[in-house]
Amino acid sequence: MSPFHRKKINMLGARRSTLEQARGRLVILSACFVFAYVIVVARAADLSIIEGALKQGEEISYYQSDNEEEKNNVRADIIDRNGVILARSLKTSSLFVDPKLVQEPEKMAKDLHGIFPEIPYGKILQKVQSKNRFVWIKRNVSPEEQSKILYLGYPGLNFKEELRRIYPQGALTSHMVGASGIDGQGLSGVEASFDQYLETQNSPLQLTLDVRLQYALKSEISKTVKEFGAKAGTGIILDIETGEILAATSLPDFDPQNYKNASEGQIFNSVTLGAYELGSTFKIFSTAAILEKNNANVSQRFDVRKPLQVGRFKINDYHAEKRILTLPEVFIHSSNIGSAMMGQDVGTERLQNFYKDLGLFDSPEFEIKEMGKPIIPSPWRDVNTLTASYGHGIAVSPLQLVKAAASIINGGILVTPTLIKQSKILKKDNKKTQLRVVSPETSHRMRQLMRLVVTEGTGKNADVEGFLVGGKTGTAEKPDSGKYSSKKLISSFLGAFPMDNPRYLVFVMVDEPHGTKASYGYATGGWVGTPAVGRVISRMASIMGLTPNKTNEKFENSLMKYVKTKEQINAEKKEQEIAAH
Amino acid sequence: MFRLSGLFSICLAVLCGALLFWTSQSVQRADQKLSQLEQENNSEIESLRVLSAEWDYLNRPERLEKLTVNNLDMDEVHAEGENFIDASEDIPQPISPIVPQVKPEILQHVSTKTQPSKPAVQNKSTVIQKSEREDFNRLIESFSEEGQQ
Repeated sequence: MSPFHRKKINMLGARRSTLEQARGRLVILSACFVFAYVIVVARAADLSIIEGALKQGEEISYYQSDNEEEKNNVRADIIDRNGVILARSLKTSSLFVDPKLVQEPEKMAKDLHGIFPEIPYGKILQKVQSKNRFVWIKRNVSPEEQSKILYLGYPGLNFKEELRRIYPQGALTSHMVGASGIDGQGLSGVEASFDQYLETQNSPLQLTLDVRLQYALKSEISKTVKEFGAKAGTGIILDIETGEILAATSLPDFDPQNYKNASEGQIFNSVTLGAYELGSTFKIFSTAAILEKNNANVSQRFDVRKPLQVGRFKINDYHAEKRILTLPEVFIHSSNIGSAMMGQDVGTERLQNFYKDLGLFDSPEFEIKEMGKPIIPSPWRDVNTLTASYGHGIAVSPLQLVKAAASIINGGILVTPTLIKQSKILKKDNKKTQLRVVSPETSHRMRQLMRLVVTEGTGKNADVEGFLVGGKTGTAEKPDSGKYSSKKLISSFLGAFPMDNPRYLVFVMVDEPHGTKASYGYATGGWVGTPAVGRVISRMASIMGLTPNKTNEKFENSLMKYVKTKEQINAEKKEQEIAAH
Repeated sequence: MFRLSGLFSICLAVLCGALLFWTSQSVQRADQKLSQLEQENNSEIESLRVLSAEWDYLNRPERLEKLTVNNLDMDEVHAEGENFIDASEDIPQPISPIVPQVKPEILQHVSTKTQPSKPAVQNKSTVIQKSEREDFNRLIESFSEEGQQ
């Protein structure tokens, strides 16, 4: 008989209760152990049978696992004003190797060389035998290459999901949008200046550019550069009212997808970085300065019969009229002598201050980092006042020129060029900080004068019927070994329309054009830049659906009384000859 | 009494365990379903991102111009050509439909029988030449052939 048999043991008092307590504890402990074993068994069954069955058919990821945060951190898109994608990051696969896990390096290198013939066999072998645990074989492999590598099935080869920047418009907007490196960091243009924004924000960055206008501008400049065998070309389309850059091109350009192979000349952004003596387009500013000084009086006359001699400098006219000219005639015939006289009349200090107010002395505030500084004569002598009146001896960027010209013809309010599309709320705030540079009267006179250049002067080729195009030609000689070369020119045309209430400004500049048979050997702004601007405006009209206005003759004819026609000039000459006899 | 309560406690514990296990399984299944849906969603979003980038790539102004020149008999629109009107006043105003203020009591009888159609009077300028029509038909056929391939 068991001494522990419950029925047989009849213990009394404290001894009995101690034994019963111990027995109860043993039972509880055993139950706990049993329960723990049941949990372990149930969990083992869950992991091996239930979860195994659930995961059947699930896709196996070939990618090295990344943090969720890292996966969601996609660089923001860059889009144009109509929402067309200019830059976007897309997921691609990059191949890397863990050399410690490689068993047959020579065989693996040979097979990989078969898939990537552009990478030398030796280079691959070097990588797979490296002492590091992580070595890139190739970044951004194609899906086809990826499937071939997976088929090889070598241990140690692995893929990492990466983001690649794609530029669907190619070179079209390369200088403004810029390019980014293989790790997504911005290298130039908006990509570089908004690097932080693009890395952290989810919403796309909208630019003011319009790819349709950009293409029209680029193709016309490209055509002109080709036709005149020029070195380079630059163009800008600006919305005068808002300061938005609708198109900006600098030729030659580069493919942002292949930035590292682009030459320095291709990367150079002549719109913002270049500093050029722009010649007669500067007469817009000297003429505005004298109008501002004389309360927009256009009846002033200038004797341009003889070259202007200042010390050892002699100022000549390219299209010499050899007679006394009125202010509008000086402007439309682009007389250097007349403009220098205007500068003289305005005075050095006043002209300097005026140029400063227009932003010609400082590099403008703009949203990309590639900004050049203007070249200002230092010290500024009196002769510099004369040469600066017709755009020589002072070099500015095309963006500065466009900004200053737009400020004069938009009613006299300083324009701030911008590349980033703003919301309407921000635009309203900007209007509060308006800065007047010329009076509305001066602005109106300048509009009329610029229209006259196209109807009567050197810019006839830019006229587009119904759009009241106005503008100013510019032909500047480039400095070459300490002298100005008459063979190396910067030919440009700055056009705006419609001149009764200008909305758009189109600037085309061609570097070192050469005369052709069609241009009778001329390579001046009137032959090179003017027709290109005319064609761009014509294309803009159809792209933007602009309505022509062929009935506004009142605006055009008001200054005609100050301009002599060829017939009038010939008649006067005859009279003078008769009087002399 | 103690035994019954012990038994009840054990049963309750087992029941709670089973319930917990069932809940855990349900949560896991739901979680798995969610991650699968998220994965599919991300994949769809990525596909859409690729497709929209491709769409903009295919709609490059340069490409569209080339396609138009090569495949369509269309000319560039010039602002100075006849395509443009002289002034905005020349644009005809849209005619608003005349709606009678009061609904007519007697509606006119409208015949549903088909009337023999009169031949349309063709303006000389709008008559398409036979050769042009053949060219166009050939183009359409070539498109459909391409589509079948």
